[in-house]
Order: sequence, then structure tokens, then C-alpha cells
Amino acid sequence: MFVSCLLRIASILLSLGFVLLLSAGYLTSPPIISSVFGKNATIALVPPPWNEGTFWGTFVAVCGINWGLSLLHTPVFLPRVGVHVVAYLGLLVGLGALFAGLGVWDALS
Amino acid sequence: MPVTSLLVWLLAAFVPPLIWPTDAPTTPPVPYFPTPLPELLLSVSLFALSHSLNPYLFVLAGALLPHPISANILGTALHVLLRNALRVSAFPLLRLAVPDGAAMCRAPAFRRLWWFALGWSLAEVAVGIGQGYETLALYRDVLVPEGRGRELAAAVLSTGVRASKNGGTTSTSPPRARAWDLWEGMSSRGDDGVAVSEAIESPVRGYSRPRSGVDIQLEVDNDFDELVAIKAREELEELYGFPAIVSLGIFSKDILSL
Repeated sequence: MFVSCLLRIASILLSLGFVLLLSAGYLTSPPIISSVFGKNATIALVPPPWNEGTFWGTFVAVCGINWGLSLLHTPVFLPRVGVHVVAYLGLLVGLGALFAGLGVWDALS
Repeated sequence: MPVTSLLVWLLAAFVPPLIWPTDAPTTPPVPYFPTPLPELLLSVSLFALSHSLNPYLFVLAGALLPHPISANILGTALHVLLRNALRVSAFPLLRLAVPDGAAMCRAPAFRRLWWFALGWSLAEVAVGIGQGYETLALYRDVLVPEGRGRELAAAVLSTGVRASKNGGTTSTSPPRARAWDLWEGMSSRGDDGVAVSEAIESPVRGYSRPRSGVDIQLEVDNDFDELVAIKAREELEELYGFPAIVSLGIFSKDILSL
């Protein structure tokens, strides 16, 4: 029971952290001003162009961390590592991601 | 488990507004759809999309790569990419923007993002809790009734002590099997004769003399269900490396007593 609670809390923290990190990367990349119907309009491209270092850096980093954690949940690695290790690791990484996200959003000062 | 998760979720939902005051948005983004609702709805539906596509991604990975381990790794990678791409695609869908292109927690977008993340985790936690209860349901047949647990544990402990005193090495059968034998023994010593015959006789549980065709059908169905449950439990225990329900319970006690 304790471990499954830990897994659920870790998933809340991870979700918060990843969304804050990804959104900071996305929203701070400079918008493209383009002329639409004679008016200047701000366009947000999805996906942003490849030269957006901030966004793609964040995206690749978040995907990498998420991939590592998800791999530990697969039947290939879970029996070797153990549920407890996976739960604690998820909680630690989740806390790290949450505070990194809060830091990027300037919420810690 | 649901109560704890819900408490943490509520804490995450209602504490941040107290810590980080945000500027009131000058114009509400969608006037007739107040702010937590579109975020929660969008995040839950995007999570549901990624969750329901998950098996197909693993099938695709299995078709591309022959080796199961590499297919698993590729499937996980595809799943993670899909999830994060969906998360990113939600930002323009919600028409999020920050003033001056700087991510500041005072911007209204911060609060909306927070709700979006909470909605995502709500769906994820709900799925996790559902899977937890499915696991528990697998063990429903073999649970020791309340009140008999202490008796059973005492019996196991005493045989364990005896075995170690006898030979130095304990018996070859694993503790769980011995516990099960004891439990079977205890229930067949039952108060009335009914329990005895049922516990001993049935192909999975022993063999009994059915009265009619319907009884045979019922018996076969029951045994088949039991076999399926045993198989599912075995797979789960291979995955965890120990019987899920027993060890998680004991582990929690150990941790709480620290």
C-alpha cells in the first residue's frame, strides 16, 4: 500500500514538473511575427522550428528523463530493479522536476 | 491509497494560489468557460488518448524489432514521445502566452498550466489506482479471512522455528507454499464437514462428485477461473519478484514503524 501511494504521489509530482518545464521552454521561445491578411500577427508554431534551442533542449531532456523512468516500469527492468527502488527513484526525480520547473518559472524566490 | 492520493492532489491544487499570487487576468481567455474546466478537460482527454494508444505503440515496436527487449525499449520511447508531444500541443490549444516572453509565476498562464498538469496527473492516478484494485481482485480468493491471519502467522512461525532447529536448513518449499498448506489444513479442520470435502476435493482444489451436468459445467467454470487467477498472480509475482499483496502490506508496516 505504501509503495503504491508513493507511486501515485510520484506521478503527480512528475506531471507537474514536466508540464512546467516543457511550457517554460515553449512559451519563452520567441514568437514569430508574421503578416496575416495585412495585419501583423503572432504565430506560435507547433512544433517550433528546429533552431529553437531552448524548446528542443527542454523537450529532449524531459523525454529522456521520462523515458528512463518508464523503462524501469517495463517487465524487462522491473524485476531486476524492484518496485521499491522504482517508487523512490520516481519520487526523487519527481521532486527534482517539480522544483526545476518552479525555478524556471521564477517561483522560488 | 485513493484517499492519500486525493489528499495530495487537493493539497497541490489549493496551496499554490496561497503561495504565488497571480495577477488577475485582464480578459478571461474563454469568457463562458471558467478557467480550471478547459484545462482539466483537455489534459484528461489528452492523457486518455495517449493511454489508449499505448498498446498499439508497443505492437508497432514489436513488429519493427524482433527482439523483445529492444522492442520494449522502442515502444517505451514512442510512448514517451507521444505523451510529451501531446503535452506540448496543449499549450497552443489553450492559447497560453506570457507577457514579454518571460516565464513568470505571476502570469495567469502559470495558474492555468498548473491546472493542466493537475488534470493530467488526476487521470494518471485514477488509472494507477484502478490497476491497483485489479491486482487486489486477483488475490480475492486466496485472502485469509480477518481474524484467522494471526493464527496462521503463529502457525507459520512455529513451524519455521521447528524446521530451523531440526536441520539447520529450512525445508525446500518456499514459506508461502508452507503457509498455504497450513491454511488449507486449518480450513479442512473446519467446524463442519462441508469445508473439509470442498477443500480437499477438486482438480484445482480437489475432485468432487457433481450431481448433474449443470453442476459439472459450474465446477469446470469455477476451476477455470481459478486457474486463470493463479496464472495472472504468477505473472504479477514474476514482475514484482514477490507476491504483490503480502509484501506490500508487510513493507508498509516496516516503513511506518521507522
